[in-house]
Amino acid sequence: MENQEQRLGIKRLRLAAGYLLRAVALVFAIISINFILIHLMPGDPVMHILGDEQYFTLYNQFPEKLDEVRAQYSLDGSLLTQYLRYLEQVVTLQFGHSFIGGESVAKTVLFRMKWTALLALSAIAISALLGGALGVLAGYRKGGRLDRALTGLFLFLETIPANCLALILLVIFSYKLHWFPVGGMVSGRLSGWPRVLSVLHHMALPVLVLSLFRTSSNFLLMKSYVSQIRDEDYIVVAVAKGISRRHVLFRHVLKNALVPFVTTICLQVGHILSGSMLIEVVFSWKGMGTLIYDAVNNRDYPTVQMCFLLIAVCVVFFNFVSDMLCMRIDPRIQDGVQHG
Amino acid sequence: MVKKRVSRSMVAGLAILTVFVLIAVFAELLMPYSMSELFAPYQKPSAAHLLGTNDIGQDLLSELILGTRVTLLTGTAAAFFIVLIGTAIGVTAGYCGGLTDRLLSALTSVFMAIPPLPFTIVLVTFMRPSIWNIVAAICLTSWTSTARVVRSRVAQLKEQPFIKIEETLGQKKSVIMLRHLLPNISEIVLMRSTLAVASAMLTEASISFMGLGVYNQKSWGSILYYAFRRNGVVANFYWWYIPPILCVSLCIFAFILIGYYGLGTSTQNGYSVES
Amino acid sequence: MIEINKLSVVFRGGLTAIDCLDLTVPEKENTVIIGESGSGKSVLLAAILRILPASAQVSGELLLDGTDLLSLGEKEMNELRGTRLAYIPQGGGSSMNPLLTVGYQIAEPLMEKRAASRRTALSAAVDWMKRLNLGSEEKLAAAYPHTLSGGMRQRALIAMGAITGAPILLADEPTKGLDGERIETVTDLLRRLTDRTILCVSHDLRFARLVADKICVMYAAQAVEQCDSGAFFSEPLHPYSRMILEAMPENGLKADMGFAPPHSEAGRMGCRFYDRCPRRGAKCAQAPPMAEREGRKVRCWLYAD
Repeated sequence: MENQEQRLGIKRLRLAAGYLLRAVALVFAIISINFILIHLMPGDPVMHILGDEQYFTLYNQFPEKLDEVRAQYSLDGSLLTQYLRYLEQVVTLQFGHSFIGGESVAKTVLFRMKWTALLALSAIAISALLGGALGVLAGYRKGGRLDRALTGLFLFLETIPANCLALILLVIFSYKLHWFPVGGMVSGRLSGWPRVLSVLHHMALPVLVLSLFRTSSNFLLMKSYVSQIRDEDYIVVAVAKGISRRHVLFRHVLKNALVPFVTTICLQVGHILSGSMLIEVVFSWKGMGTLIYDAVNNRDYPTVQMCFLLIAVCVVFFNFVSDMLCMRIDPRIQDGVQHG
Repeated sequence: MVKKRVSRSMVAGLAILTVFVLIAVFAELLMPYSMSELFAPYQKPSAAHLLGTNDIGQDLLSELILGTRVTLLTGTAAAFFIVLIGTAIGVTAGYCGGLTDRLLSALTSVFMAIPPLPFTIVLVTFMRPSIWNIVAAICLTSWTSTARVVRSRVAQLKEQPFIKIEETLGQKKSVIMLRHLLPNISEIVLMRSTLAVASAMLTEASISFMGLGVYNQKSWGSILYYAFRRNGVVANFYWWYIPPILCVSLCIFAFILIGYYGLGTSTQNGYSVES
Repeated sequence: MIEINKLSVVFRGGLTAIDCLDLTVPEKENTVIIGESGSGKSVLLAAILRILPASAQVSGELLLDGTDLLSLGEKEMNELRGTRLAYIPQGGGSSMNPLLTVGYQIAEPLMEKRAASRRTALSAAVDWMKRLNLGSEEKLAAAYPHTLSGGMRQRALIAMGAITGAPILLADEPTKGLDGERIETVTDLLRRLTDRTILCVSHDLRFARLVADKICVMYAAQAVEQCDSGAFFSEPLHPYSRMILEAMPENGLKADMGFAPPHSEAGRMGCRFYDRCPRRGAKCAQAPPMAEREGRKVRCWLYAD
């Protein structure tokens, strides 16, 4: 008995190590792609930093000055040396300073990340629960009244671009009714509870829009998982055994639907840093989305690079988390058996 | 035999699409004014300008009509390449298996970990905006889900007897993939393409909405961008920002009708009744 | 006792799986329904348990000790499942939940219906697995279904059906995929459950001969012969019954010839067996009545007076 458990533990450990190795390889690949993409872009980055006019003045009159600027922003040397230097910086967690404001990139990005995470995590939590629960109910009675009503509603929602719905809500609730602030994250000079309330007030609309769209896609996914599982033989057998409908739903259907659903939610959590970009732009929420947007417009390489690195690490990390969770839920994964 | 039944929702979707395609093709003939004609800016809707004018005095209805072309073209072109790349990679990975599969799947995972919208934005900004660059940028990040779906379907199909028979007869791999596997996943590919068009149009609209579209080229997203940036939304000039939203929604609605209700249900009925 | 009157099941798309079936399953006896795959015998069990898809149309009467099961609400029906009616499903790969342990799934009806604690239910499950000779039962109880072989899964499912002690046991091909020795274990077990009414579906004639008290032969959605087991095996009446018994070598096993649906006009309108019958006559183009002779029922013009 003990031997068996030990073997199981080793099997799990080996699998987990494999997942981890894959995650590290993925991060490395993504870092490299980021670097290549950003550095192979047409145009000299120094030109973007200095602006066209100044760049060409320097280029024609003081080319050595241009090299100085290049060195200052670590843009000198061959692509390979730049790449190696970049890798070294990543490993030692040095992300440099912004080309634009000159501030520490890490500080800015971490500050923005906090705000985006607040927005996105609340939306994901709401939509995972709501979309999941409604999807289970609709999928269990596929073709029923609830299913038809909700599917119609959510498919209708899917046709509206997220930024459009955000705009419409902004016009109605902020400009017309003045129920919610027009943008930003918090009214100035508040502390303690009033500050928390103000933040909640500011995030209500963006979270609403984000949750609506996430709920809709989670609902449609969960519905299709559940309705497929509902037709499996073992569910019919469970009913024939006399198991009550509640227990069939929770013990048999839900547990099986959880495997793909957990993967989906983990993918969403992985994309928290970039997933709310459009909404942030509309509601002028100073998060990662607007940061990337501004950094791209200003050709602020260090900031763009760190944002992408963080996003990629986040995606890969939660991918790893989802693999680990699925391994715990589904015993077939440890034995390397394909899903039936 | 699986009988093809054209459902009502499919007809409705196709009808809406046809209208938009006609508008896109004959845009110049339908536009009441050309874009170079300038009038008083910020006009309300009137008999002369059914949807009013924008911040620099262009007729909004004409702008909307012209915008159909870019939005539709970007959407369909991007979807075409998304499905092409996704299907090619999916079929190859699913059928060949082994090392090929592992390499292609790893590639898919790498691209899945790249945030689609920010990445598209970076590409578009650095490559200088043009329709084809936007199409390329959308493609690079969006082919992954199609590849996954196709791969898993092909991996199932290749265990089927009719493929095994071809293999024992010594048929070439390329022939099996093109002649025998491809026709069997055509339903999935078709459904993926309608959904891909919808999502590519959404991405295009988002890019233009953030002001990263092609300068001076009209699209629904760019109308929205200017409405948002030039105080059209704050002042609530709804005739300015509502029509492009309606057009995008209607277009996507048409694609969902075809993809989700039309193709989706006809295959389900087809298999359950006929087999 | 189960009494089935004029039961018909029609699936969406117009496929008639059971056509006007009359059958009496006597108390505490073993009734075996014999038929080829596709003859509608598994559908009959599903109809009694009311686990057919909602789109299937069921008409007629299914009397369990006088109450019509078809008139019960879903909740009342569910109370009967596991207490009065128990089910042994066919042991395909997907008949057990892949995420729950084998022991738990066997024990589940006890916990649900008899309010047994998890511990007693699990030990009862292990006992039943021992009765079925699964081998290293404690370890198996903690294992997941994907680690079981087809034969082991089949026997686990039998334990799952038998564990509640429900007086009526409905078994769908309980010997499918088992080899000779295992079939004997199952046969022994079913014969020793003398206090239960067993309705069993099979195409394994040797198994039927060992277990059955009563035989019902189904062909193309209809019952074609019903009689005592002894009479059936010594003197089959219906041409179809004769055919399958002759096809069974003296010590042989199965007579599953694969189902061929009636293809001629006469086969559809008249006797369903018309196309394959060696003794068909002109009359057979019309649907034969169920003839009664010496307590036996045969659907054939040869025995209609």
